[in-house]
Amino acid sequence: MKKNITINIKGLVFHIDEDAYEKLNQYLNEVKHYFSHQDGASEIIDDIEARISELLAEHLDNQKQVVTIKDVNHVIKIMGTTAEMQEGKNAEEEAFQQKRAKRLFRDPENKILGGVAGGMAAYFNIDALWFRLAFVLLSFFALGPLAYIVFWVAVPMARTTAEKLEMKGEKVNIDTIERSVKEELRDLGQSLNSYANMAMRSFDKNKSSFKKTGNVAADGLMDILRFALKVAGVIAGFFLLFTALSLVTVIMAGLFFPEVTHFLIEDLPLTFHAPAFAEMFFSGGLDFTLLVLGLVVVVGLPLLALVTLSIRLDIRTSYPDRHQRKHCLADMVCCPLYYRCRCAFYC
Amino acid sequence: MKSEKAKAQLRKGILELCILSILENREAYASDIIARLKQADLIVVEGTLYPLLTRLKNNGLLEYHWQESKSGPPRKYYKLTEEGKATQQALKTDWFVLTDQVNRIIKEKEDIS
Repeated sequence: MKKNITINIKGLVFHIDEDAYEKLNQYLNEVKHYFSHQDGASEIIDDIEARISELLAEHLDNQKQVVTIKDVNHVIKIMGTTAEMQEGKNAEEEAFQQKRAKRLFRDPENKILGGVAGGMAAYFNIDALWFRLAFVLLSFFALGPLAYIVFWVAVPMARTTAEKLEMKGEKVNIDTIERSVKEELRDLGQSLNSYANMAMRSFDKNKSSFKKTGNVAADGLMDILRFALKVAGVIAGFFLLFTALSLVTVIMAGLFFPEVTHFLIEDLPLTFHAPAFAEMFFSGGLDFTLLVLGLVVVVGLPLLALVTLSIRLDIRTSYPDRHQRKHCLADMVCCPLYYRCRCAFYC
Repeated sequence: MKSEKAKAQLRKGILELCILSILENREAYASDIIARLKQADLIVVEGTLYPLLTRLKNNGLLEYHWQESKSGPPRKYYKLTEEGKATQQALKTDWFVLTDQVNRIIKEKEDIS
């Protein structure tokens, strides 16, 4: 049994297997991106979609009603991958493509929040650390988080191999794509190898524990260290969240009800009260909404960033499985104890 | 490998003339054109033809009209414009002169050897 999706390509309705849909969707995205710099791009893509729809329709009849991954592969073979289209280009078009400059993307492989700094690093060919540092420093002026959010929203993620190459400013053709895919595979192979080694070592551990006492001890130490770090991470995340939330509450409350801050810190030299502040700056006491607004931007936004950051950190450690994350909000609200237990369990 | 690239380059150059010639005295739908070109081994994948047709259309050499189809979405039927016909004639003449000259060069070499 397989789950099916209903799609509509140029007016024809198809029932398509989920995996086939993923493949077709990815292919169409690649094609769209490939032609996006060309004159009449939308028309070309419309033509291609119409042809795909026609080819798929040829494969179906009353007996066979569902588009499978085999059909999609067949269609892609007929239409050609973007790399094959590249080979069929004439010199004029090729020259046009070579002129294409680097583009700013968000880098999914080098990201902490949204990959903005990673993308900038690829664009300017500077280590991402500097951009991260800059954003953190800027966050003291509230500009950082704001700028970051703007970039996050405005800059697209580099999803396909072609986009990743474009992000680094490499010419997109079959050779560079092949190279990049090979690199990715090699990385994957290496990490698989190291997993295999780890498994072998733990097997050895059981079989002849006295043989590699030194190694095993080192391994055990690393495991404990890793565990301790994770625990520390969860605790830190929790406290960050708690601190940030209380600070936000106190400051917001204090702005408008000075009694709150006075109640908490009795001998506060200055009243942390918006109207009082305004009094200091505008002796006439006229327009203080501006000042309040400024305070909110300067103090409130970095704190808000801190809150979201700590929540994300927390959720990532407690819900390693992506698909379960949708439940986490409900857990957090309805049963904080259960949520905490998950954190403890997963680290 | 080198010769493969050169061959591909050679084919690319004459693709335009071939498309215009296929359409010389008849209307055709993109798949008809593709089928003919594939038969002649001039293109490998269909994806390369659509941008070419769009470019020829935008340059005013081709025009198309929509026609309903039984098996799928409506199809574009292409035909030559007046300008397209003139271009096709000019290219065709050029082609004959070119092949004639190229053949002569190749033959001369063979005669000497």
